[in-house]
Amino acid sequence: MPDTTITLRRSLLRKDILVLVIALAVAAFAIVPGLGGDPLTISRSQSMGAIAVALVAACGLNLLAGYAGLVSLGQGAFVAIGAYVSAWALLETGLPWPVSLVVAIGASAAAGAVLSLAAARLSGPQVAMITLAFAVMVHRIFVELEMFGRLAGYPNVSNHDTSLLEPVTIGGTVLEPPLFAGTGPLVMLLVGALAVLSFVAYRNLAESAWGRSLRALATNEIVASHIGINPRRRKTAVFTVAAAFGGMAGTMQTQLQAHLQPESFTFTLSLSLIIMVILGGSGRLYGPVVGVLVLMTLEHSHAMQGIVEFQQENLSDTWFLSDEGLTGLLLILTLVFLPSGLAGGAQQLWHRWRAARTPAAATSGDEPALDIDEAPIDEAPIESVRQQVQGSSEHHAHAEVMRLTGVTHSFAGLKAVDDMQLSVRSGTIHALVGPNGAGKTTLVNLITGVYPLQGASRVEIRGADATGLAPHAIYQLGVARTFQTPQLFHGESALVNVMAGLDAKLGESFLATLLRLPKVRRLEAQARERAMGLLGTLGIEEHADVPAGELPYGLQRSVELARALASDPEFLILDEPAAGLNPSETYQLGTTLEAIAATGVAILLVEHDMSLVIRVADEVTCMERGARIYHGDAAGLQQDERVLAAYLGAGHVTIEGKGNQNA
Amino acid sequence: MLEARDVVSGYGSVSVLHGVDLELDREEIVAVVGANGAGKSTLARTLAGLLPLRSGNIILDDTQVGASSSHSRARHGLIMVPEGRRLFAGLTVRENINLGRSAVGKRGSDPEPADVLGDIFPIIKERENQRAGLLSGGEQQQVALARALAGRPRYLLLDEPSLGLSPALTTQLFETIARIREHLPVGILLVEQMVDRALALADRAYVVERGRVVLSGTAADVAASPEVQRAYLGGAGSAPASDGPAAP
Amino acid sequence: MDSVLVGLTLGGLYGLVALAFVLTFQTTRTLNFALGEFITAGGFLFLAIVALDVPAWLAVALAVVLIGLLGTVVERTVVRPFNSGPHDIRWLLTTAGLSLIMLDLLRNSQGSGTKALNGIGFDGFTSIAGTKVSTQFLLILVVAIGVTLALTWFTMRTTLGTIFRAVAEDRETASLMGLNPGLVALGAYAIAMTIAAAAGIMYSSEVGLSISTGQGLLVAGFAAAILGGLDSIPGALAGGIIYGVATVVATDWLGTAVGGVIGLVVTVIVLAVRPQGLLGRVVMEKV
Repeated sequence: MPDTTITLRRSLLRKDILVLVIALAVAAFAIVPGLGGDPLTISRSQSMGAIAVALVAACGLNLLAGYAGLVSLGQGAFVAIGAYVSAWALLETGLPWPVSLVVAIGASAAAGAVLSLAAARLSGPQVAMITLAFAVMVHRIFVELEMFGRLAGYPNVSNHDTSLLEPVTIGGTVLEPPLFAGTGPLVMLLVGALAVLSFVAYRNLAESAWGRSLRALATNEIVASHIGINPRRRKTAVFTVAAAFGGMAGTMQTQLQAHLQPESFTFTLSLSLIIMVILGGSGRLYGPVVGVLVLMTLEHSHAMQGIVEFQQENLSDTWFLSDEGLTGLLLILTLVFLPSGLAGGAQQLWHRWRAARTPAAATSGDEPALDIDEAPIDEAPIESVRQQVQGSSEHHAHAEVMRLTGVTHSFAGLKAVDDMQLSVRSGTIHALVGPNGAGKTTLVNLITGVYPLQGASRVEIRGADATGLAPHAIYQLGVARTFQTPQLFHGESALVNVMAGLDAKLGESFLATLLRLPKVRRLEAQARERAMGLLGTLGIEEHADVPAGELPYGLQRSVELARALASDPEFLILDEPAAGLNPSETYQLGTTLEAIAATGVAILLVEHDMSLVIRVADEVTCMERGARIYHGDAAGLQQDERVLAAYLGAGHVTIEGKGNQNA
Repeated sequence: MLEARDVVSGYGSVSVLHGVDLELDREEIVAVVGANGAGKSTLARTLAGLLPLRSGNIILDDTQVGASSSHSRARHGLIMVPEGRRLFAGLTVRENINLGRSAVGKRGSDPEPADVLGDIFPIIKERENQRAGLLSGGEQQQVALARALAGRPRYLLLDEPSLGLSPALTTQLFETIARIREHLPVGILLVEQMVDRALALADRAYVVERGRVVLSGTAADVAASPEVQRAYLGGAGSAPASDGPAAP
Repeated sequence: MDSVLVGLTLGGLYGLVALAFVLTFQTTRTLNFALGEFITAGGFLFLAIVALDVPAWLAVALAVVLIGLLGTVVERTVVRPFNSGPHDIRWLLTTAGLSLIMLDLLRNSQGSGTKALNGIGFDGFTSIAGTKVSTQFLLILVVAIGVTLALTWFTMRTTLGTIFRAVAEDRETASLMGLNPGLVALGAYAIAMTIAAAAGIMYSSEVGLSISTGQGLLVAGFAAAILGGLDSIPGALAGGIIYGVATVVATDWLGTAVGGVIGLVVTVIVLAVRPQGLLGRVVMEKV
């Protein structure tokens, strides 16, 4: 269906252009009135500049803290590094200003990369601690380093004979900073352009496969690695990118103020930035924009002063909260009343309003979609599954896709898996059953590389030795899986969740994503198209735009299945897909699984629901206490003494005979 | 008596139990059986207070406890041995068991439970100063039972006690449970996947399927019913009736 | 050699701050990011009580106890409601917000000058193996070692300490045994903030007290706690000493700028190799 792909591409392009035009218009609206240098507009220009700086820093922070869930309390440090390094490069090295800008951003990014050596291996609280420590330390360095003038600022009269940097020039035009009444602050044009460019770059990253991979990291690193993401590398990358945005903000600050003081970069700056992100809505595209505007407007408005005066008059003239304290209070209140921020709250209201307007779509998920006895099974979706999942059209009939031999695994000396063997063939469904605690999920985790294989354990996937590969490498071999409890990115729409499943297959380069080259837009359109198609074949396309967390459980399972199918897997592993489904949903699931297998996909089905297993499985393996006790067809399973004993108790099997019976 | 009335609960947006009624008297063993995912463990966790009650009631000796926390239920005599034992791995066997006494509050003059319970659980004396994390599965189960009994429960919930144990150790475990009933005035709710063993030991039983009680009665009646095998191995019905669980 | 000894004594101070982090993290998996302000508040509270003509030793006792109580209030109102599980780190932001609020209140009410704490602590220096070290810092090191030993004894040997360890290991199972994890959390915060306030008073009796006293110790405390593993009481002291020695030695040899950075550099290197810290344990995420 190339026609719809082209339409999609065009609409993506239109949206990109629209955003660019609006951003330019907003920047022009902010900047142009002050360009004349009218004394009355100087402070306005300064405020606009400060907003631009905060916006760029907050956008980078949102990628790190909001999208990737790594709450950094040290973004201010990267602003400081960018500011000081760009000032140094302009003053001491005589590099042309564009080069100094690149050098400064590079220095910030490098600092971020170094910090990520430790931070990318840590979890939430430790990341916050180490970034905060970093911010305080960087501030101290600029207070202490003689070459940056210490508290005298940089540059300063005693060392440099001037306290102001020379303004940059473009083609002979001097871009004066907004400092002197009567001089047109032309640097605002540069700052505005940099802010717009940064915002577009931020949006390009956030609304891309790369951005979706960050959300996956935030949800669960193990899940992320199963959709082809290398968690540590990606965390290092986002740390570096966030630091680069901070560095960009710093260079803008240098241009605006022409003089740097260490007290502009205290720990409070870092805290303000994270507050802006939270207040606006962390992990929302426009969250930082809203947060920066609201907080900076509040700080510059008379409201804050009014509150301070009110406290002084009515409570105490010594124990009162001024700007900083009120900001802290605002952060706590936001987390109490508006945990998803202003942008998130607005989005939720919008979804609720839309759900109220279309009651059918909102409720249909809660009731059983079909009653087996009454409704005939609709064959149409099955046929379209066949068309959709046409990954390898030239598969050999029932060729072996995965073979597992001699797999033994112990946790702290206790054997969880004991000399297991298993093979799954294309176009067939192999069910893995067994009582709770038999080691089924452990075995799946061994196949997909969650646990390292021990001893002589060996996994072969599509003829290649997959022993010792990490989950993201296993993914690239054409393996996809679902989890015992659906692991979706709850804040994101069902569509975005499904797209995340094939992102790692697209192989978009970071640079191409940053610049949103035409190729990226084409791939994005194709991904969207395919994800939409998969939602359609599973009969849930009307929920495509609903945040996954708001979907009923059964639909969440369907979305997760669609995500697994999105990467066009040759081998699909489903861990208890029927758990929590009602009988009619389970019946439909069986039909869907059969249709998927019919396209040549090999399916490993870990399942407790025996009616489903008996209906769809071509082969069944039963595990007990880590070992294989049955392998054969489903009918034989119900007759097998050892299986009955494993499930129902050893009442009719002698205990002594158990270990040595036929395999 | 411990009573569950029309209990509804679950995880996140999912309801697992859809209105379960259940009764447990002191000095009886009641088995809850059913396939994996039927809601047995959810029931035990809801009764113990680890999962919030969505609707319905839980009544413990005429007191409604549906809204109270798990530690206050423990102090009212309702103690659960969780699935997988969950011993405090870094604590010694003796420390684990003595911690269990917290549920009865301060009893300064009482002997330490680790000493009292040594008669029922020989393992305590053999391994008392060893870290609990180093014990084998069967030993851990003994310590977990002792730790719960140290809190002097009137009602004891055992969530899948045989999980991961070998048949021989399972036999030993069920003997221990039988011994507890002989020695102590406690009602035991046994959530178990080893159906025939559980039914052989229990006085009464409930069969749970898809979050509802589908069958209840004396353990012998339940064991004789074809419902049980259907609940475990699916409804295709191809297995002959004689392959069903052996009634005691 | 001189600098090693000086670093050692400073390490005691950092270790105390790190201990305050470790105590709450062990039991509740949360930290008080406003800890710096608790340290500072301890000093100012002492001054306020002394101003009422209360003897200095009694003022110290009252100040640390009151700050400990404030710790329980913070746990109940600012931490617990924002900690619904391992993936919920809103508490981190609310305590950071609290830090802004407390700092602002202190600034508005106490001014930004440096005040002296008189009537407590030691003056002058003590000679050890020919090296002069501040007697007060030596006292802090002794206190830090004493507190570490006492807390180790408390957690390993007392019934209450066993309860702390049980809750730290598995809150859910602890509650099944009739233990109230909420009470343990309150207790941990009380002890931790008491230690923070005591460290603040001892430290500022030597160097004076300003509203940024606590923040100055925060970085060292964070780094020391993470170095030690965030989970280990002896680890906190070890981390503090490593940080202290590294900082002083590097400052003497390579200047203040390097000295200010070296502690964090060491921390980053250690974590890059050993993310769980020197004495921490590995925890694996499950799906």
